[in-house]
Amino acid sequence: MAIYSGDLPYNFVVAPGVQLESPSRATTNPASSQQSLVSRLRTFSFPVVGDQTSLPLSPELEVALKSLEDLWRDHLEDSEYARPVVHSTLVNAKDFLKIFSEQFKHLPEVSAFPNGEIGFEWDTLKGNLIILVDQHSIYFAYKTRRNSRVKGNSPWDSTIPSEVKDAIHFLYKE
Amino acid sequence: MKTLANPPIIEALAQINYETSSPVEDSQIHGTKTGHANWNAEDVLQLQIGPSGINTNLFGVKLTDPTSKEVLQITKQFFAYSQTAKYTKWDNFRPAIQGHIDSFLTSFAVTNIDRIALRFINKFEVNGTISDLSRFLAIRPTFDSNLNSPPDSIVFQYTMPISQVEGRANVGFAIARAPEDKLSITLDIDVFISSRFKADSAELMNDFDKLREQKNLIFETCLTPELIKLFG
Repeated sequence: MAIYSGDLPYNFVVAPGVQLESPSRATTNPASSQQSLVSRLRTFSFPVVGDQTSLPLSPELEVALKSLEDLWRDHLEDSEYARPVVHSTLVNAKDFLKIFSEQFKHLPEVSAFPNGEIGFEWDTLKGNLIILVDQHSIYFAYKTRRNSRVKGNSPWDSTIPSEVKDAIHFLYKE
Repeated sequence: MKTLANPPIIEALAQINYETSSPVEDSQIHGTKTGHANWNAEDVLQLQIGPSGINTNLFGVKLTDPTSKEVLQITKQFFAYSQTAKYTKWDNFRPAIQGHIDSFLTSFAVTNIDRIALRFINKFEVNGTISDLSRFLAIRPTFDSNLNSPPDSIVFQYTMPISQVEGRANVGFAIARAPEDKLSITLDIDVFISSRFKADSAELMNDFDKLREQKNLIFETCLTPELIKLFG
């Protein structure tokens, strides 16, 4: 499980996007970030459910996301090391997850990032895909185990970028 | 090598990522609290959310000495010791690192270390504006004079290999206006080596010494003599 525990907003190599290495090893964990880890940088894991090819959000997941929303609402204050997760970011992240889960069964790990984005991560033996969603855009970075890399961003318009779809197909190809 | 007499360090941290022969149990994590009875303890949790509901897992504990503001982060992946308020000099920090690491290696029966790191976060407050940045930072962005209005905050980072120790560095800068017409400059240097180390505190300290030397070199190259003089 990838715990993100960086602290400062400039922990990303591709500002404001994505650090392709495992965050827990590419940066060191100052105590100030662990404070954030305690209070808001928690990691959430959405396990794959059955063999469904399409996974509408179940009532249980809606409840879980509501709990997630409540948790973040409790920790919306800005700090020296972390920007708040604004509500429109949460709305976009939920929108993304809902649309994604209608097309794919492989649900990601989800975490809050110190720049105020919500991050989604898929990690398989074939590679790693990270997506960040903020109040306006979606940023993605994809790296295979053979070091082939794709990255980009686009305004969030409720459409999964084709590069992301290709990456998911590759990561989970039999 | 220049080091500052009054370094404005808001956090100095040493970290090891470790391996054990069997998975770390929650009881081991909780057990560290009893050895630090007067320290404030906060559990660090992982939440897993899924269709079946929410599960909470213990990831580690953060222990803070309320007086000295020293912090221990003891997790299932890494151990870290920080001085967040009273960092004075390496000669004082070093034995504290070794003492805490030594205790940790023994109590958790650590078999190997696979990453060591130092992270020093400095926060300078100086008289000036972002237009004066060249007085303070040797490494800095430049802006075209035709820019309609100058920026009022800057955040940037660079990463680099450190061939001398086969490590890497993340160097971050955050510059912003501060109250009373001051300029706040945060310089965050994170140096680390991902390799296999013996679980021996004395040997680890030799490697930390090498990392510290590289950290200081980076520090020196980032700042101008004028800034160093202000805090020297």
